[in-house]
Amino acid sequence: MRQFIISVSLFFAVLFLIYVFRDNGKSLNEASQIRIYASGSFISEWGPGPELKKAFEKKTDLKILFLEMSDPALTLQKLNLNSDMVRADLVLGLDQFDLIRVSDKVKWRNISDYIVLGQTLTSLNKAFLEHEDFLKSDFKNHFIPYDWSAIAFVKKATTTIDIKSLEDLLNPEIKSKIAFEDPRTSSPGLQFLMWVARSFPEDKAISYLQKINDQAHSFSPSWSTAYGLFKNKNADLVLSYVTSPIYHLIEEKDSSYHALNFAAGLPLQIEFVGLLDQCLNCEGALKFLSFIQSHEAQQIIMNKNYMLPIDKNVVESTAFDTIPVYNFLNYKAYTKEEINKWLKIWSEIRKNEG
Amino acid sequence: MKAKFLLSFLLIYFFSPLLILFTQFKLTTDFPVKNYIVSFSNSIIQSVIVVCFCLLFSTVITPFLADFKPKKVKKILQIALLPLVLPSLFTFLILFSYFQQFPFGLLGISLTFVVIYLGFSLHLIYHAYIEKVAPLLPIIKTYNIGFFQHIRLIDWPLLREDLIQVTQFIFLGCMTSLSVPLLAGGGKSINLELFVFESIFIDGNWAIIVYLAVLQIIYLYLFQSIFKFLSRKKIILSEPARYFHPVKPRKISNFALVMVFSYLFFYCGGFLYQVGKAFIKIKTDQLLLLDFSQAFLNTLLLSIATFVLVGLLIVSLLYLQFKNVKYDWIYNLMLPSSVVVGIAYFVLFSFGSGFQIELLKISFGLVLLYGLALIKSYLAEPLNRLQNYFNVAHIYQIGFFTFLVTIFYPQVKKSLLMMGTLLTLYCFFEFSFLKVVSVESLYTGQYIERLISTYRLEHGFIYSFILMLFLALPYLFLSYFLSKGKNVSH
Repeated sequence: MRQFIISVSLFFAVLFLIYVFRDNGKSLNEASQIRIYASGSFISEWGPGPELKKAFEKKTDLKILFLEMSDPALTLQKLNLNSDMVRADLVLGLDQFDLIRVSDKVKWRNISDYIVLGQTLTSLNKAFLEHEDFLKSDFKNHFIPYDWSAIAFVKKATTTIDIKSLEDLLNPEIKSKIAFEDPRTSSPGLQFLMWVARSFPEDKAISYLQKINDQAHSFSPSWSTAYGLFKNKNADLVLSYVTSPIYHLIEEKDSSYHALNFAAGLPLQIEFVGLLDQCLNCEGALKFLSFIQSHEAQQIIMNKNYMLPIDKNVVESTAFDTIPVYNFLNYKAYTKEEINKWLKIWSEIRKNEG
Repeated sequence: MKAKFLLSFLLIYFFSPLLILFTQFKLTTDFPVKNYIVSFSNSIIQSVIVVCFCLLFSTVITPFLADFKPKKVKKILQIALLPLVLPSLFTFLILFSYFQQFPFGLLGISLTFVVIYLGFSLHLIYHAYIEKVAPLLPIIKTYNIGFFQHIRLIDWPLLREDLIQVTQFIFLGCMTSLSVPLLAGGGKSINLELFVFESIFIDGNWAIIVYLAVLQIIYLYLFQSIFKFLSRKKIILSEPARYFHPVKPRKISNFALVMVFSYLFFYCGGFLYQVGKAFIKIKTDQLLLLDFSQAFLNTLLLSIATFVLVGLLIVSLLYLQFKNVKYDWIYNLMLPSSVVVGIAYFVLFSFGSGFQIELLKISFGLVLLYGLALIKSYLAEPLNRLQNYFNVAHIYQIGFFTFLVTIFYPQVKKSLLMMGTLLTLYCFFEFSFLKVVSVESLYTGQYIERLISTYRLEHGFIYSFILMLFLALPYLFLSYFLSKGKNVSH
C-alpha cells in the first residue's frame, strides 16, 4: 500500500512540476500582447474569440490573450480598485446599460477616431447609433459597437397563442408560463424592466409589473437558467434574443423556434468595446479595434456569437438574412439613478409576491 | 518549527481576506441595517427549515439503515453527495421537471436546499452512527434500554458533535447561496447573499463585503460557542467495538432503504434522464473536446495544488495539537462567501500573472472556501478523539512524523478519502469563485458553465456526467486499496 501511495504521489508530483514550469520562459511581453476582457461564451472554443484571435494574429505580429469577465460591473469594479492591477487593454461585451451604470468607474480612452465601420443598418442607425440622444452622450467617443440584437420573447411552434404586445403577455392562457430573467442579475432581465418602464406611464408600469408576476414561470438569475427552463419545456416563452432561433436552425437543424415581433417595437441590445486608459499595449489594442470592425471579424462574430453584426453587408446571403424585419424601440438615455430606481421598484413589487 | 510561529502563520492566512478588504474599501456608516435584518432573518428561517428537515430525516432513517451491511450502504450514500457538487441549474431542471407548478417562495427554496443537502446530511450522520453508536447496539439490546433513554443517553451524547457539524455546514451553505433564493424564492425571500449582491451591484456599496466577512466570523464564533456548550460534558469511548455486525434487517428498515433510494432516484434519476436525452440529441462529432481537455488538465493540476495545501493544513493542525496548542478558533475563520474571498485574492495576487500564480491564487482561495469546512466536518472530531494517543506519544517520546504516519493516518484514512473526493469534486465543478478572482486559464467548472450559458445545456449534462465517471474511477480504486489496508483499533 505504501509503495502504491508513494508511486502515485511521485507520478503526480512529476506531472505537476513539468506542467508548472512549462511556461516559465513565457513572460508577459507587453509590447506584443493585447489583453482583452471578454465573456466566457465569447472566448470559448465555440465562441468567436479563438477565430478572431487566429485571424488577428495572422494579420499582425501581435498576440491576443483573452481574460474571462464574470460580469461587467464586477470586472470594472476590480479594475477600479487599483490602477496598478490593470493588466488589460480592452473590455468587450459592455451593453448600453453597462455603459450607464459602470463606465464611470474606470477611465476610458477616446477612440472616436477609430470608428471605421462599414455600412450599418439604417434602422439600427435610426433607432440607436445615430439617434440624437446617443450622439449627445459621451459614449460614442469611448466605446465602439461590434454586435447587436433585439430582445424578444422566443417560443416553440407548438405554442400557438398570438402575442404581439406587452399587454398580450398578460393573457391568462400563458399564466406561469414565461421564463424571465431577474433584472438585478441579468442583462436581458434589465432590458425587459426598462422596456416596461418606458412603455407605460409610471403608475401603469408598476401595475403592469405587478400583473406580470403572475405570468412568470420564474425570474432566473441568468439568461442561461431561463433558457434552460424553456428548453426543458418548463416554460412556453422565454425572454431572449431575435437571433436565438437562428442558433437552433444552424446548430440543431430545428426550425420550430420563433422570436415574437411586437408592433410597438423591441428593445435593442448593443455590445460595445472600450479601451482602458491604463492600457499596457494601447497601440496594439487600437489595431484590434480596427480589426473587430472589419468584414472578416464581423462575420466571425455573427457566426459564432449568434448576434447580428454592425456591418449590414456581412448578413447578406446568410441564415441571419432570414431573420424577419422587426420594429425597434429608439435609444433612450437613462441615468444611473433612473435604472436603480426601477430596480428598486421591481424589488419592492417582488417582495410582495411569492 | 515553533508551534506558535505556525499558529501565527495560519492566523495571517485565514485573516488575509479580511485584512486585504479592510485596506481596499473605506467603511461607511450608512450600513442598511433594516434591509440587513430582513435578509438575515430570511436566511435564518430558510436555513432552520432545511437543517431541521435534513437532520430529522437523517437521524430517523439512519438507525434503520444500520441493519444493512455498512459497506453497501456507504457506497449508496456516496452517490447521495452528487446534488451538493453539481451546478444548481441541474438541480432546478430536475426539480422543475417533477412539478406541474413549482411552489416558489419559502417552500420552493427549502425544497431545493433540502434536495441539495439531504444526501450530505444522511451521509455524514450515517457514518457517525456506524462508527460510534452501532458498535454499542448489542449492549443496548442486552440491557433493554428504552427508546427515549437510547436517544438521551447514547445517541445524543455520541452524535451531537456530528449533528452540530452538519448543521453548521448546511447553515453556511444556505446563507451564502445566491442562485437558489433568486430562482426558487420569489421576491419575498431576499436572503443575505442577495442583499450583499444588491448592495454591491445596484448601490455600488462595495464596503458591504467587509461587513459581511466580519459578520460571517461572528456567526461562526456563535456556532462554535454553541458547539462548546453542548459538548461541555465530553463522552470519550475508551475502547469502542471496532467491528459492527448488523442484525437481520427489520421490515421497517427496508422501508428506510426505500426512502433513501427514492431520494437518490429523485435526483440521480432526473440527472441521468437529462444525460440520456442529451446523449441522444448530441452527436459525437459535436462534443467540443478541445477546450474540455485543456480545462481538464488545468483542473487536475489545480486539484493537486489544493490537495497539497489542504494536506499541509491538516498536518499543521495535527502538529499544533501534538504540541498542545489550542487552535479551535481557526474554525471560526472559515469564509464561505466566494465574493469575499474572490475579491480579496484578486487584489492580493494582482502583482503578476501566469499559471503558477493562478494556481496559488485559486488553491489558497479554495482552501478558505472549502478546505477548512471539510476538515471541520471530517477530521475535527477524529482529531479530538486522538487526544489520548497524543498523551501516550509524549510519554513514549514518539516523534511527530512517526505519530503522523503510524497513528494518525491509519485512523483517518477513510475520512481523508471522503474529504479528498469532495475536494476534487469542488475543484472540478467550482466556477463562481474562479470568475470573481479572475483567471486566465480554463477550468472544468467554468467550461460547463460556459456550455450552459450558450444554448448548450445538453453538452453541460454530458460533460458533467463524463467528469463524474472519471472522478469515480480513482475514488473506487483508492477505496479498494484502503479497505485492503490494516485497520488500527481506536
